[in-house]
Amino acid sequence: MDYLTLLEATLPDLIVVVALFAALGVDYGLCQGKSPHERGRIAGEVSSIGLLLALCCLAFQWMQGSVFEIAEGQLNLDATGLAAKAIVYGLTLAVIRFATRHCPTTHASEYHALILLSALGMGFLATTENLLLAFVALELVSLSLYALVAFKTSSPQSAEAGLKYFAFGGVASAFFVFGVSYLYGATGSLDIGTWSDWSDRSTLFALGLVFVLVGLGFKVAVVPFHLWAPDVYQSAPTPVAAWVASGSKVASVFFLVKLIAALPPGPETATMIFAPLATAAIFSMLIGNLGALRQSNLKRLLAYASIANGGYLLIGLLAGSPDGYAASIFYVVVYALANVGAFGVIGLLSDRMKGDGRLEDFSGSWRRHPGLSFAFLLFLLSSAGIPPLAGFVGKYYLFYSAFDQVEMSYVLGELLSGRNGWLVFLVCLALVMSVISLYYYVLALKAFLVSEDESPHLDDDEGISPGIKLCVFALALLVLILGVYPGPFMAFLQAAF
Amino acid sequence: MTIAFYVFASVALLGAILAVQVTNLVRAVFGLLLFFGALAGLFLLLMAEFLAAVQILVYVGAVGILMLFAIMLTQRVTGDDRRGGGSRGGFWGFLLAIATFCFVLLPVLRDAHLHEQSATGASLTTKLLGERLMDPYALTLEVTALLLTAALLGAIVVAKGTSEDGEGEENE
Repeated sequence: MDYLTLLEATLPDLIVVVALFAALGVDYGLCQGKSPHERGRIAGEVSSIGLLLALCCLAFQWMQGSVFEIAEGQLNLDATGLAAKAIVYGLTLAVIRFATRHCPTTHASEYHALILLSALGMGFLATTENLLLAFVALELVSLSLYALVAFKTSSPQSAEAGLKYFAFGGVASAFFVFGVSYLYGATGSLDIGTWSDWSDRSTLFALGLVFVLVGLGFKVAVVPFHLWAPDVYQSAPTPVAAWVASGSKVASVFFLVKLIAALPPGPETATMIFAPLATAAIFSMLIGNLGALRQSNLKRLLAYASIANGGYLLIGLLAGSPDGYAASIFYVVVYALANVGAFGVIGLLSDRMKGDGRLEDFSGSWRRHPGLSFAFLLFLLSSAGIPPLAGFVGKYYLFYSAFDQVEMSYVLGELLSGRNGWLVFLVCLALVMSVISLYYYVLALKAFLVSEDESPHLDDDEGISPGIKLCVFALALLVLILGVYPGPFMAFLQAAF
Repeated sequence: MTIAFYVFASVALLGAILAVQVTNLVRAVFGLLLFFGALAGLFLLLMAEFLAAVQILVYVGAVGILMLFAIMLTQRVTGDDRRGGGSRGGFWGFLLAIATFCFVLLPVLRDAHLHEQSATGASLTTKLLGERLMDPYALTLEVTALLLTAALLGAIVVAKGTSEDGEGEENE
């Protein structure tokens, strides 16, 4: 292999690696006398500069039309791959900005370094087509996130959430690597790009695939692998919750879509994973949406909403068409943008006041923070799927791609049998559930926008730097732009499959 | 060959069960060491001499000692910790595991057509292993290095206690 190509292909990642060691080094070497807040700010600045440089490098590679392929599908950096990496690093930048405001413990630089490490893992996971690298990247993401979730070691809730995440994640990783061993045994190759010219379909292959899907299902938090999500979202530091909900989902969905799209052609492969995936989608939508109705804690509510969104995502995969795959990716990106924004605003308003995110803690926000409250309105309405915001377009693409695959028939029996029936049922259920989800999103907005009395747990403006405001503004703008003018991005994604 | 396999496999299982079931942390580590040792034997049976040697040198030797040191040095853990021993639903979990093995894994393994040869074509020599790691899989090796960094940082963050909210001094 050509090491120079490897260097060139991983240059953005190397910049991030340098940034993370620089953040640690500056903190350990120069900042020991300073207050934790100041140290956190400096580490955040160093990390942000690194991420910005990496993004510039990615933009440069993209404009040059570079295509990198590292042996055995380990990296596949075409235009889509570069874009995937850029999306992950862009989200990281937002999370880092939110994290600079308030560091939960004295480990200021480790906080940012771990966020960067997980971002690196997500970048690799989103761009690889090799099962071995995918496993190592998944572990990199998971290990960093376990530590980040349990970051507030003094709080029992945070430790409990970390332990739950770790226990579930450990089992999911075991499933994943066990599945990889079966897939390797069945196909003799770790490169999923070679699957398409492989005709021998054995039950060994199917079982391996199901195990790998279990491992990824844990990351996307679909039922029945969702049990960790509410506790983690509620008790982790808020920027970390934003990160778990956005980056790790985006990266996993990119890999998941590649995995499904690479399946050997033929009806057998489609049917062998169709029923399990469809069942998971149905229960995710049901449990996520109905669970969210009963929550009085805003972070927990968003956790259940994210489980429901995991269910919507699967619909695009089940459609099994290039449009469906593109719609899934579009939806997860839009969802991640809105979620980083929503959790960011929650963190800005409540983290320093040690609020645990109950709905009434946010009452009267619109008086003290009109801008942030308006952005929050956009983020939640987008997630609820209200036009003209991006979430609506995402859902439209998803449901349309599934409906497009239904073979139209005027005989009701034919329309509702087999795969057709599943797809029709899924889309109808998703539509009903979207209407139900409107209720809890509006409930959350009511606390922010309608309540007259101002909650004593609300933080003030102090310490919200222009950078953070710019970040919220950019996220809100993206949610709006992708809703009004989704065409180019969608066309770009569709061209990839 | 077959007898040796069953001996090593049952010792490995015994070690794994000991590591999970024993409440004393130090004894659990020794159970784990037993498992690592048996695994080295299994590698030998698979003609992977180098892996077997690495398994004994690194896992049985270094990692085991490291774990014992970690137990010695970690605050608040004395090795004889009896909290949180029993688990609810263990019986059903065991039943589910047995059922999964009998009805899902076993039938699939019975009619699987595995490649007779190892995927690399030749027997796994150290040279070949080194070439595979440094040539096509250099990137994965590098990402593994990042993984170890993340594990190190995470261990520092989780194991080293800090005062609430990052305002005060660390309480060692």
